[in-house]
Amino acid sequence: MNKLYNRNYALYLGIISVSIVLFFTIFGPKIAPHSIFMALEVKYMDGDVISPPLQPFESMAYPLGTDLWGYDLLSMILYGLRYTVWIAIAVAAIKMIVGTVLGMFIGTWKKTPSFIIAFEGAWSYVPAFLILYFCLLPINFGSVLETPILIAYFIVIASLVGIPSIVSSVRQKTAEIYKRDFVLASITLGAKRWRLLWRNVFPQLKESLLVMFTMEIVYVITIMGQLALLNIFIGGTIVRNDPVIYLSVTKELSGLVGQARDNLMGNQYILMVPLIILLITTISFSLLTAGLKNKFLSDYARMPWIKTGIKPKGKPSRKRLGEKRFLNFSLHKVGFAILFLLFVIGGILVHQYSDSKIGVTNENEGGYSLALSMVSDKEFTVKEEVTVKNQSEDKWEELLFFAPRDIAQIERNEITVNQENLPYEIKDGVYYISLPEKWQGENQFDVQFNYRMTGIEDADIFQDWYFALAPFKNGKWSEATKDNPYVQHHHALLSSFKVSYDLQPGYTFISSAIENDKETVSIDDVKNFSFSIVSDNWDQNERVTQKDTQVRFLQQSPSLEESAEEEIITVIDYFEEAIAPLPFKQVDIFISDNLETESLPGMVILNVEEAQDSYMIAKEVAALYYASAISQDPKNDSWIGSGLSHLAAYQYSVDQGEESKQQALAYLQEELGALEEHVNGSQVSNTNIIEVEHEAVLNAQPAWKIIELIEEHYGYRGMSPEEVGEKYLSSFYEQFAGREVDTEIFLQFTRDYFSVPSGAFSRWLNTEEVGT
Amino acid sequence: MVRYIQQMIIVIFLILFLATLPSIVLVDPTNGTVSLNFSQFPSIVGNFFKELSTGSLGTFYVGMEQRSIASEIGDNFFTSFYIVFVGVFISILFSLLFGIFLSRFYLTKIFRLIMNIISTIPDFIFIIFALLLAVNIYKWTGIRVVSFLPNGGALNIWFPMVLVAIAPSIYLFKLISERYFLIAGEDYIRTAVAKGLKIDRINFQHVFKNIEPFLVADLVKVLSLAIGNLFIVEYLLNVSGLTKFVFQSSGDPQPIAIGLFGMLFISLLVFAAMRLLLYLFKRGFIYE
Repeated sequence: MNKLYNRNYALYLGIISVSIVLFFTIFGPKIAPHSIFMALEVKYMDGDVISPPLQPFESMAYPLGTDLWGYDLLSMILYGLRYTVWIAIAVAAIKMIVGTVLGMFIGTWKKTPSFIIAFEGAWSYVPAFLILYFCLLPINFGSVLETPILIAYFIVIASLVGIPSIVSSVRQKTAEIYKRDFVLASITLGAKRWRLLWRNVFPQLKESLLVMFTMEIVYVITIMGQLALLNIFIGGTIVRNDPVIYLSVTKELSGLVGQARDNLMGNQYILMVPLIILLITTISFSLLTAGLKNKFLSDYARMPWIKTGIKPKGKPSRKRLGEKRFLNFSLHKVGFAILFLLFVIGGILVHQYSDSKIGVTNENEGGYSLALSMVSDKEFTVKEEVTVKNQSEDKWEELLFFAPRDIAQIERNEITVNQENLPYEIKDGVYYISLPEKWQGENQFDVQFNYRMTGIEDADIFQDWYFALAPFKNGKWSEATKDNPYVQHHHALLSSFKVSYDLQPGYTFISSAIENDKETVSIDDVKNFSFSIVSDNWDQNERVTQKDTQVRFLQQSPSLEESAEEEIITVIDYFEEAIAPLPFKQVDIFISDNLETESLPGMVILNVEEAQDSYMIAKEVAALYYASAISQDPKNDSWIGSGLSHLAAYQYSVDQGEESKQQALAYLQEELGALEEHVNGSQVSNTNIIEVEHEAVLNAQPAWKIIELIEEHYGYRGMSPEEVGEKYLSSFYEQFAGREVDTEIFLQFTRDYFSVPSGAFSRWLNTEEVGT
Repeated sequence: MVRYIQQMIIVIFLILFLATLPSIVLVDPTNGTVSLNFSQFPSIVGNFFKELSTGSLGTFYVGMEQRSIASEIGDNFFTSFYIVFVGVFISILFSLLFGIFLSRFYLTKIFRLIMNIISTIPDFIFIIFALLLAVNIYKWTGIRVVSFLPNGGALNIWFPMVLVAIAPSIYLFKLISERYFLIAGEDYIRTAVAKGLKIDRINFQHVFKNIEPFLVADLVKVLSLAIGNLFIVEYLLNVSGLTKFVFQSSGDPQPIAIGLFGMLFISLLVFAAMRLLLYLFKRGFIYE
């Protein structure tokens, strides 16, 4: 019993809670459920009006509630904690390092100059936060200086203000140790000052220095809190007038407390929540300090002769000479190892969780393995194997596959699931394979298709040539895309493909996934696998971009001059510079009279006429990013791909100079003009694709509206609309490459990016239905 | 003596520096750089002393209204002085009592536990919690524990006194407990025990005598803590003390300097008073 009671629980608890705090400082923003720039908007839900401020636990989406303006408290805390803790650690570390070195050095002097002592005395009289207050008062308000600079100022000034007190205590301790016998012995043996300091004095000091360091962290947080009460928030204070409101830029914890100070009388939780988290943070470090103190007290202190009522907790640990301590087994080491492991595993899990949250997540998955063999000039046989995974909670009664685009090509087909022939129905080009009851609970199915198809004369581009698994989400299978003039693709999952082929002589297999002269290719995370087979009659030409992406030009009859190829390469170079390297190892550009202009994953098809127009080229190349590498459900959201491609083309035109910018604007305006004439009233871009009345709804309208948005709000993100447009496009791509997006996600991202309410989109997007 | 004069000069210089800092630091909004304009310093300091030499303390603004500092400083000074004096007195009293004389009793164990818990809470958080508690007590019971009105009388001043006392108490109590523990292990205590002296006697005659120098040495630190919390407490609780001049003058050097000098004067007075009390205690109870 005594053994249990006498453990140093403060130390254990301190180490664990500090680890947890550090964990949240590192991974907090990844866990945060909301963006700190996006406020909850008033909305109706099941007959109730939901409006800020929300109390804690009132809504599951906002577990700790929101502040008066609708910003999620939990998210702000998770974002802000890292500033609080790491700034405190940085200040404490600088103070300790400089203070220790100076203090030890001064401590070895025979006599400390009286002015140093006087200075220490005077300095310790003036409260540190007051000095910081007057230093930061002139610079902290109204974000004249940038946040990192303000943080740096704080760190430097706070360290400078704190150093004298550290110097003073280290100096006194050093002077005391310097009088001890073992120092005298070392001096007698000829040790110089540095050796004395590092070999004799420092080892005596190191425990108390560690305790001081953890204490200083709490002390710095306290100072930050005191400043925050006076509206000096670390990283800058935003001042709003009418009524006067002070807001923290960094959402650093003490800033959150400070900005909620007015909630003392009503909505107290807005103040309480960050205060309690701040309290937990400081208590963690205080516990660590107390635990360390306890440990060192029990290790080193002499026991008192009279009853003092103070008893050190924990068993003293003793060092034995010549013992290899590192290899010794002890429970403490195991504990440390477990803690470390938990930290790492937690980090990995959080990373995976936040990764899976980006974009639309479908609840099934398909892996394709396709074997293609060319039987004759016009005929192929295909053996398709799809591994289907059910990741939803639902039991499936059937499997849905979208049939190849031109169904007439299929002569004979045969479908097996898990090696059994199953009955199926065909409706509007969708195959419904009903599953027997025994398999309905299963999570994985191996589906096999064998079919023949006809193709190529001289060249053929194969897209939607295989049975594609329909996406499954929220207990429903995705619908086939109904006939419409704008989008022919079905909604597809981002999947991995493995394709092997066997061709007749005289033909070449061309695909973005190709690795030279191999007869199998594989590619991951694309929404469909397109390739082409061309006869040797085609003229081929390969070039490499600045970022080492291969571009292969294929022309039926070399109808275009070098300059067009040059233009395409310029476009690709621009996008690789401004957005990201192309998502494909190789891009195939087809230029032909009798092909329609189109962009497929890894492939751009240009009609000769449109290959002369740099805007068109840019748009089709941009579609490789926004329509191919980022997937959308064609039913409502295909406008994202086409709209952003147009926006990117506009950005390219802007980059090319005033003249091409005006041309691009003229083009967009013309399209919008046509839209106005064609559509009675207006039509939002996320209209169901079969109701879309004009193409411009899907491309020119979103592009134009985003350009307007950038022109109005660029000041929030950068210096000029051009720069912000590029940054916006590249951040969007960076965040969603290899994922699926929908209108809601687009809205979230864009609102967040420009810090605008969803009302800013209501004229061209239906913001009501998304997200319900 | 030389050191005290040096110390005073440094403190005075520091106060003048802090008071003028808002006027010295210049921020260039176009390219976001900060520059220090030290050439302003002599003229501001000159103006300050010129104002003093005319016998007035200068003026400060409340909103748009200009008021004379001299006409208001008296009340404010004494309000702050009472708060600091009582706060520091309470902290010394409690820490000596529980840190040395009652340290071995079970009751102190509870006190130590409470102190340990409070000490993990930063002062400003504790102050906010105390405020929240006071507000909620009023909400639940209708009993007005504190008043935020500057003319609230005792209700306005007892709470700040307690809040100001907390941080120095914790600091001193921990310091004295630690010292007590260390001193109790010394050989002269063993000698005293061996002689058969009672614990209370040892505490008075051996322990206190050896702790007193540390107490006196840290009195400045204790005062600094008290003054630091005074700023926060007066600001948050709307007590009209000296900090009014410091925080409400939006960078005007005159009232800031007057306020800070007033604080300096308060701490000198309290320091002297505490030394006197300790001296009397020593003369009364301890053999020299």
